Amino acid sequence: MNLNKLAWRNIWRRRRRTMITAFSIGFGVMLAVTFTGSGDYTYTNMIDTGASMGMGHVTVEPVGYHLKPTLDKRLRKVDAMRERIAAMDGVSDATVRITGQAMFASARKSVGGAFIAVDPAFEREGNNLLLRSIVEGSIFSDRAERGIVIGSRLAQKLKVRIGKKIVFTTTDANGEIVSDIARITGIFTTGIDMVDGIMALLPIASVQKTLNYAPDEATLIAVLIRDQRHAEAMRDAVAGLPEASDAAVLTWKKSQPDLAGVIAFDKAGNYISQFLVGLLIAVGILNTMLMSVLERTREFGVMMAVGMAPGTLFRLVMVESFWLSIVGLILGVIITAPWYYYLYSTGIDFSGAFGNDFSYGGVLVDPVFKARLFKESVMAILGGLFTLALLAGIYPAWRAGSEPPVESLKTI
Amino acid sequence: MRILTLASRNVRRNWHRSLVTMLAMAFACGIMIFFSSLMEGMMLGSEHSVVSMNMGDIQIHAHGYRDDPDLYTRIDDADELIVALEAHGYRAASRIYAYGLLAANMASSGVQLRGVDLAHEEQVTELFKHVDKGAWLDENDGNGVVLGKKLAGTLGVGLDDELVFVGQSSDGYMANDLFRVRGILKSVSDGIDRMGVFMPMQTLRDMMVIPDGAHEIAVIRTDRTGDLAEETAWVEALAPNLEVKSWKQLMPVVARMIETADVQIMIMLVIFYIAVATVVLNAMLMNVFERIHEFGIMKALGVSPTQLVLLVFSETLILALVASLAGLVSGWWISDYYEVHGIDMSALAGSITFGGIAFDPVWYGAVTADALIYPVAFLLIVAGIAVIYPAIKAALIIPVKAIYYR
Amino acid sequence: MSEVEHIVRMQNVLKTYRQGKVDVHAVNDVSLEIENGDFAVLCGPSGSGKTSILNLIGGLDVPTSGRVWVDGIELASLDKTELSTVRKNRIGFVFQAYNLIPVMTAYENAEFVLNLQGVGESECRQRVLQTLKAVGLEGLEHRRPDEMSGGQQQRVAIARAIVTSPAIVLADEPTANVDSHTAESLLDLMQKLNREQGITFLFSTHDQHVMDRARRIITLHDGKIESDEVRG
Repeated sequence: MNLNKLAWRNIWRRRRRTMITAFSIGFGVMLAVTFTGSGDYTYTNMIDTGASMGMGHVTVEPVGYHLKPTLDKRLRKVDAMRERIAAMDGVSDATVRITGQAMFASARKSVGGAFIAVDPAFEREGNNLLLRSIVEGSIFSDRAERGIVIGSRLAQKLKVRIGKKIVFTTTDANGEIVSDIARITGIFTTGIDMVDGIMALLPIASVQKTLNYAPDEATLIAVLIRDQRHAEAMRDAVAGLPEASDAAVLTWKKSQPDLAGVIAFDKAGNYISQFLVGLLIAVGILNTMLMSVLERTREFGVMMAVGMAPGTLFRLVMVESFWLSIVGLILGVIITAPWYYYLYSTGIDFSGAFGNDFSYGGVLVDPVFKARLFKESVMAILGGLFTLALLAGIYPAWRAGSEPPVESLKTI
Repeated sequence: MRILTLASRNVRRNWHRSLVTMLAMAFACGIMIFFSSLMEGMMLGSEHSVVSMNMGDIQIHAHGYRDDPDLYTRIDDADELIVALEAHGYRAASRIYAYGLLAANMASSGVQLRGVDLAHEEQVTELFKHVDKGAWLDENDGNGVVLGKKLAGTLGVGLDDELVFVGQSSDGYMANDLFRVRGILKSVSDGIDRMGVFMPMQTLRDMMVIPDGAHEIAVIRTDRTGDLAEETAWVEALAPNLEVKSWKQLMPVVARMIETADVQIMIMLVIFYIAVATVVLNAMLMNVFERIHEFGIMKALGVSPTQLVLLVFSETLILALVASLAGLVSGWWISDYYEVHGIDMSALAGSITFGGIAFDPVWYGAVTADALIYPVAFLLIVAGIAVIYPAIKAALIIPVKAIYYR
Repeated sequence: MSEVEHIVRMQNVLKTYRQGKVDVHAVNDVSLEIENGDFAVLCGPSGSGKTSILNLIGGLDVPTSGRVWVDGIELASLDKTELSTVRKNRIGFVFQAYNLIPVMTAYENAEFVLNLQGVGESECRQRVLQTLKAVGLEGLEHRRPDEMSGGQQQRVAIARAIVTSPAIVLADEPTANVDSHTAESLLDLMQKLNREQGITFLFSTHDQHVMDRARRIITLHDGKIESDEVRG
């Protein structure tokens, strides 16, 4: 009879007790999958959405721009750099943009806001949230024309519609105040009041002229990558390019510190809660294993009397812990699978409670509660619970092996 | 009480198991108290961030101002209204706004100027305490302005730098003036951070030619325990041709978020206590199972099933009471510490924004009655439910089978 | 089997316990030798020290003073692991009750120590089946303890004790939990094993049935040997 078999049979001595403990482990799996999975989904969503709001997952920008984002700072030879970056592994998109503050004025009013100047040939719904959110009209077709796309609240404030002209005023490369006129070709609604109230898209070549930039100068290159988790690696790769030698390369964590902060905060809370529940589950496992050991004092005494080494008894109880956690994990997978499937495909709709316009860290959050686990997270969850269960078994296993047989045998 | 004595002896008999079970319960209870106090603190802190920082409890505008903020859409008898409000125990301050372009050396930005009635504003909001660099406004420094945090960054200016403002005054002319940066605020809200410029009211009145009236009156209650909706209605009655709204109506997203905090606490409670319930269930099952023989004898001697159930419940009650006491003491103690010191999250997150409002990076807990009572009550309930099954098992023991068990 | 002359040797063994403020001598200066092939019994009232002596011989306990040899090996020089090895290889135990592991079958229980010793699968199988047959349990190999009578369980315990060909089998009140008929048949079995296979048995008992069968009776009182008779 080998240890594994004996351990397996031992945990089933008290079927109900084992099942209750296994259930608690399974419950832990379900919780971890729900909360980690929702985090994986939501954070990725928020990061990807944030990336499409202008700066990308990785931003190539002029040195010092981060602290003082003024329009005199610019990158040179951007087109070559953009091409080089777009060809890199893992990059899904790289776009050249100019970003700055401006006053927008219509016949009736003037309002302060900000613009992103883009080349419509490279802008897609995937890399540009504003483009994605267009509800009326469309983006201008040429990089050199005089079109503009503005937010719906901005349009409201200025009292303008598609086809109307507005004047935008800003400071150019030399610090001079310059203006230009543009015709509204499209209106977007993202759902974030701030964005809809101040943002506008402009054609990049026209803006370069207005700002007295050279045709290959721009504020930044926004790099979008396929898997946001690789942002840091991508930043290092881009920073290593010769074309980027006098530029600063930042990840979204630096260029969107609000978002980064909010995600870090939420993650911390998430993981701490899971850890605490895990601790409770471990206490339950400890209790179960300890009770099962204390019940078998006499039996262990006999085993040691006939020659089993104390170390072997320790191992026996540890293997029992092992089997218990396996059963718990399997049970966990069984109860979690349908629940996870539901969260993966349908999710729970909280828009009743939060509305469709909830912003967290400056980014719109999907009010539907969904979960999408990364493979690594699955491993981490199973591994973590497994380790916790084994750790919980250490004290009982030690107890099993440390009682001198003569004492154990006295208890009839 | 015979049953209680017996129960307490039984608890002591299997010390290991009792201790571990109580530990699990106390741990869960303490953690839940701490968590609840943090959530309550967040709710209060959120409301504080919104109300006391900038919005006030209630705001009054001329009809149509909020949708189309026009220089001319004003509240005419602002001063009289404020006097009437103060007579009723409220504090109120009027504000005037203007829009235009603010330029610094190399940059410019569209801004919202706010003329502040310094004496009154100090009684309504805490903006004057929220200056990060430099100082708050001063009547005597008419051209000293305070900027929002991101605006200062966008313009690339620091303290004492010069700014030029260009806008359109109410009499149709170009209004412009030179200002000096007197102070820079900490993060308040998206709007203020990006576009907020604060100056003494008289300065704005002079520059934009608005000799009287106000665009907005912010009202705060001195006694904040009353029903907000009722009080909003009362103020509305006082100002019949003006628009009166509470902060909850003006910031529905944040209001909703605060309301759902309660639900979040409930959810966490349920989760934690399910885990605890399994520990209690197992422990009490073993408790009963081990003593089948003993229970059999007791039944044979005439103890009724009800009494056995009571016995098992009493044992659980004792465990749960001791545990909740330990949990209460430890939870209260930790929560108290964090009520005073708060958790400094600035290492984790420079600023945290929900629905456009910035929140204090230091998270203070709040030890409220709710935070203390709910976790303890829940623990007792959950323990009680978990022990129903084992108790019933004890009650249904057939004496003959039990005595000869094994 | 063993070639040593005395399977067990005890010399001036003392075992003292502290009970409250008084020292109790469970074993009070006992010297004794058990020969190869003995069928001996330690008897006496409760508290006379018979179980203690058995525990000391079995290496389950350590004397306060004095020396113990089992199969020529002095126990005092051994650490815990070495002691458990001695028990594994040279001693067989039969206890009054709860001998067996409830989740294992009769076969698996009997095989337990052979497994610990690392004996190969086929040799194990052969020895266990043979031994189970010898104790009269042929056909019951797959029964679990809760499917067997008290007497059958004790037979499995005996099988486990002898399948390793130990130097000595120590049996602590092996018949105390069974009815007299079963006790008789168990004793028949053990006597048979002693006669036919020369297995040395040392019992601790106050059961008259056992004493009647013994060839050597060592009577104890208050931790001292009162008498040591050899019968025909």
